[in-house]
Parts: sequence; structure tokens; C-alpha cells
Amino acid sequence: MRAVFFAALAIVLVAPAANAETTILARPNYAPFTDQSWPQYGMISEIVIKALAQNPDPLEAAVRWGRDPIADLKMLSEADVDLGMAWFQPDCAGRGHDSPRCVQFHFSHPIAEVVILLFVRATDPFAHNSDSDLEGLTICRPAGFAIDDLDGENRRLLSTDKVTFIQPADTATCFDLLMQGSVDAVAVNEFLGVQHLFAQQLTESVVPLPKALSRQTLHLVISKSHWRATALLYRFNAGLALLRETGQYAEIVDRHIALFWDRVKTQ
Amino acid sequence: MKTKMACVFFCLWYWAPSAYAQNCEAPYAVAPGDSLSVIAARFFKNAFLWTEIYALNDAKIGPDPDRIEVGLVLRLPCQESTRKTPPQDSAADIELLTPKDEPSGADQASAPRFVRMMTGPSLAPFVDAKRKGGGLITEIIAAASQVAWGQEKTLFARQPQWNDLQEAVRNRARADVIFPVFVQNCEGKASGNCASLKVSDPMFEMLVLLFVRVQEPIPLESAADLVGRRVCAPDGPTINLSDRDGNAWLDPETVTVLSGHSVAECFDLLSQGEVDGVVVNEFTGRLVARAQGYRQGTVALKQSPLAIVTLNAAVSAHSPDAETILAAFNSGLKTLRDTGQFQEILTEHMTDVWAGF
Repeated sequence: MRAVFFAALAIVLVAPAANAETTILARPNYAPFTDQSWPQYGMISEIVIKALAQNPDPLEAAVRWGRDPIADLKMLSEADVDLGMAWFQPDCAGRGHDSPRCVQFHFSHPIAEVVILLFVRATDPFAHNSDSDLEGLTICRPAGFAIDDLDGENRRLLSTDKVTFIQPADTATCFDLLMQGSVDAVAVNEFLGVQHLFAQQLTESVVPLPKALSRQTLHLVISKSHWRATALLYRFNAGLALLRETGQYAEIVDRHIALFWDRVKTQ
Repeated sequence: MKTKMACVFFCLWYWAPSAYAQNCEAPYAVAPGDSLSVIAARFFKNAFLWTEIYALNDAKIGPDPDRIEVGLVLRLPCQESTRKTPPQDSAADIELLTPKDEPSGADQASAPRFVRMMTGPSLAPFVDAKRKGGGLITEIIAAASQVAWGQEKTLFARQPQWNDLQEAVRNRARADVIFPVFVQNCEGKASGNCASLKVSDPMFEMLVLLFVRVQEPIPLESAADLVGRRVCAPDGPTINLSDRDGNAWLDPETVTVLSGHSVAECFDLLSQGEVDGVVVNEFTGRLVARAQGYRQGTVALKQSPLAIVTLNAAVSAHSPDAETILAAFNSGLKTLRDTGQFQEILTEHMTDVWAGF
């Protein structure tokens, strides 16, 4: 009789531990994506939690805030937390396939696309029509952000020494270096950049170049050694698809982006 | 290029001996093309051990482990100094009894109570005599049993057919515990298997997928997409699989299901065009497809799993010892999780699994 599993026995209710709360490690102070003081903890946080709650096999999830990149990576690699958000994905199908992030982690379907801009001194802008316009320049990006858009499958700005790359501890230092003339551009996502322009009172002094440096996607990650890795990832991807189909995704994104622009102007 | 990489932390686990172990903590200069995972794979035959290298060199590398500078001199960790837990018994060390070797009733009365653990034939990577500890689940079971009631009281045996497992545990005829069992939702079902077994806490969770030929993918949105198809379900009866609307994926009225074949035989049938798909869990399916050289020709429809299942141990629901055994086993399993040993076992096995995919 076809009452049993193909390789073992089919039985019983899902064991309670399988539905225990799922922990998500989030990058703090990363508005509007993940931020402990933002409504619903940020746009990405809200999308992830709702996707996990609305997939065909829903889960409850709780957000934990990261402390520093090294400790956070340790926790995720050791599966001390279940999921991590939100990460840029290296070129795992290409040059990055041997990188530790690609070897260690599964990446979800893209959650959101982020535009990476070059922020320059308003008094000293430069033409940016192609990568050749960047050769010889010094570019700044804070530590903890991936650099695959600068050195990946279709671009080799760093590995060929075409640009000098500076990575201080935080974004504010990058903009300080920009104003000191020590760097030629700060390469960060549009939200982070604009946030700092207002926070550091640089709205008259710094402008973003119109041509984007790159477009990156943000993902959920889980260690390949996690005991529920593929199943959790499937649940999230399925839930994300549902959010898109029902229009909830668009509503969440629009709401958070609108809030960001409201808040940044008043800070 | 000046690139920096950051380090993470370190995990302690056992790895296969390597020549480098003879000169541990000797300096290693990063060469072109190196990444921490490439170095780990080269010296320790385990790419996941990049975390150990990072932990020893995080101050030099910085917060991004993906970036290491060519020429950067790293210290590679020693093999023995990183071991946290004693090695698990190898597959050869797990005693496999035949039914005639089991202690008789008289022996049981005078000797310490044995817990008889029974599994089936190979189900890589979970139950596999060729793998460390007898496979991922076998190793976890052995470790949990050691904590729960002691290794000396644990007897392992193997049935030649998966279909015989349930009979073996019924009324504790030949086994107290069987593993692995695939656990799915039995909510609302109080008959058949849903009523005959009690299961442990889960040890692993995964997807049951349909593997198809790359050139002939099947759109798999609902059970209706399999109507009129021929599907191979390895090694006996199939699991009760339902789509999002509760319709059976493998309705015998509308889907031809070939059973009684091994996973390997099912993939042979798939490649020969005798069936349209193979229903199997994602890991066993990929491992077998790769071993048989079908990796490029087949694809797993992972966007549309037929089921999400956990792997558990189980005892007969009618056994008077059921609750006692399960409670002890679950306690042992929890100890493994709390001490990190569970994650060590998982990491070692999944490193090998994903390296081959």
C-alpha cells in the first residue's frame, strides 16, 4: 500500500521544534532597510517577516540586531541565528564562486534593488560616462559593505589598480575625507548617501553624479550548514512571491520610501 | 590591488589529516586566486573551515572575509588544537546486529536495558555506511543516544528494505526506535501511520522535489500539472503529498507512479524517458544524479517542492516505553544542540554535500 514514504516512514504532526521562532540577524542603523528605530524595523524587516508569515508553511520570526560585521558573520556561519538580512550577493555564479560568502551561505531571491551612486564635491564634479572616467581616482566606501560591484564579472576597477579604494570604519568618515579632498567620491547606496548629506550638512557641498555606479540587490542569507537551510529559504522565497502577487510588496516599499524622504529632510 | 578581507570567528571540528597539519601555525602567504575558502579546501579538505582561518587572522584581514590581499601572510590553524568534541564512531564502529544476535529475553532481564535502533538501507547523505558516522542522521542519532542512555546500551541494526521498518518497531518486535522517519503534517489524520508512531524532535528539514529532464521541464504549479504523467517514487510506496489546495500530487487515478525501484534505478528510468519525473528528497536526489552522471541532464524543481519534511526518530505509539525513550532521546538531542556538537556534525557533513553540488 502506498502509505509510507519512499525512503522512510511518513507520519505525524510536524514536531513542535520545527515551528519554533525563527531568528533573523539584521544590520542596525541601515534605514530605510533595517533600523531598530524605524517602523516595523525597516522596509526589508517588514517584507521578510511578512513573507515568512504568509508562505504556505508560515513561521514566526524575531529580529535581532547585529553588533559588528565580524561577530555577526560568526553567528550566521555557526547557525547561532537562523537568517541574516539584508546582504548584497557576490557574483557566486562567476568570479566569486570561491569566496567565503558564496561557499558558506545560501542567498534568497532578491528582496529589493538598490542604486549605488557616486557622491562628489559640488565644486569638483567629474564626468562619469564609463568606467574609464574613474581611472586614477580615489573612491571611498565604509567597511562592512561588499565590493563586488567594483570588482566583479564585468568590472575590474580594484584588481587592476585602476582606482584607489579606501574603506574607513563608517560612512561619515568617507564624507569627511571627501570634503578634505582625500578622496574623489563616496560610493554608497542612494539612501545612505542622502542620509549623510543631511546629517552632516553637506546638501550644498556634495552632489550625486547622475549615472549610477551599479545596481545591487539585497537578499536574505542562511548558512548552508543550518539544519533547515533549504526549507527556510524556500518558505521565504514563496512568501516573497505571494507579497508581490497581492500588491503588499509594492505598498510596503512605497510606504517606507515615502517615510524616508520625509524624515531625511527634517533631521 | 589592495583588497582587504575580514575575518569572522572560529569553529572547532575535526577534519581529515593533511600534510599541513604537520606544520601547523606556520605562515602561509596568500597567492593569486586564493580565497579563505580555497585555502581551507586545499589544506583541510573542507572549504567551510575558512572560518577557522579567519578567526586566527581577523586582525590582519579586517571585517570582510571575502577580501584578502595577495601576499598577506596568514597563520593556519592547527588540526588538533581546534578539536572541541571527540570523534564520533565511524560507520565501521557502529555495531550492526542481525535479529538473531539481539539479547534474548532472559539476557535482557539480567543485563542493562538495551535500546535497539534500527534503520534502513542507504539514503545518502543521511544513512550511508560510506560516510563518517554512518551518515548525517546516523551520527546525530548515535551522539544523542550516547548522551541519553549511553553508547554501551545502544544497539544499531539495519533492515534491507525501508518498508520493513515500521513493522520492526510495531509492538517493539525487533526495534525500539527507527530512523529516519519523514515527518509531514498529519493534522486531522487519526488513522494509519499518523496514529501508529510517536516521533522525536526533528534533526533535519528539507524539501521533497520532482526531478525532471532538463530538456523537458514540467510546469509544476499544482497537482493538475502531473495528470497523465509517469513518475518514479523510489523504494516502495510514496509519501502522501498534497499541493497548496490539498489535492494529491500523486493521485493514482490520474498519475502513473512506478514504485519498487531504488533512487538510482529511478534516475535511469528518467534518463531513458521511461518516466517524466523522480520524486525524492533534494539531497539524495542530487547526490545520486551526480554519482550516475545525470547531474547536467536533470534538474530539481526546487521552486515547487512537493513537500517540506523533517527527519526524526520514531517509536511505536503503542509501546509502553515510548514516552520514556522519546524523552531521553530528545533530552540527548537538546544537549547536542546546546553544546554545539549538533552543529559540528551538521557542518562537517553538509560541507561535503554542498562541495559536490
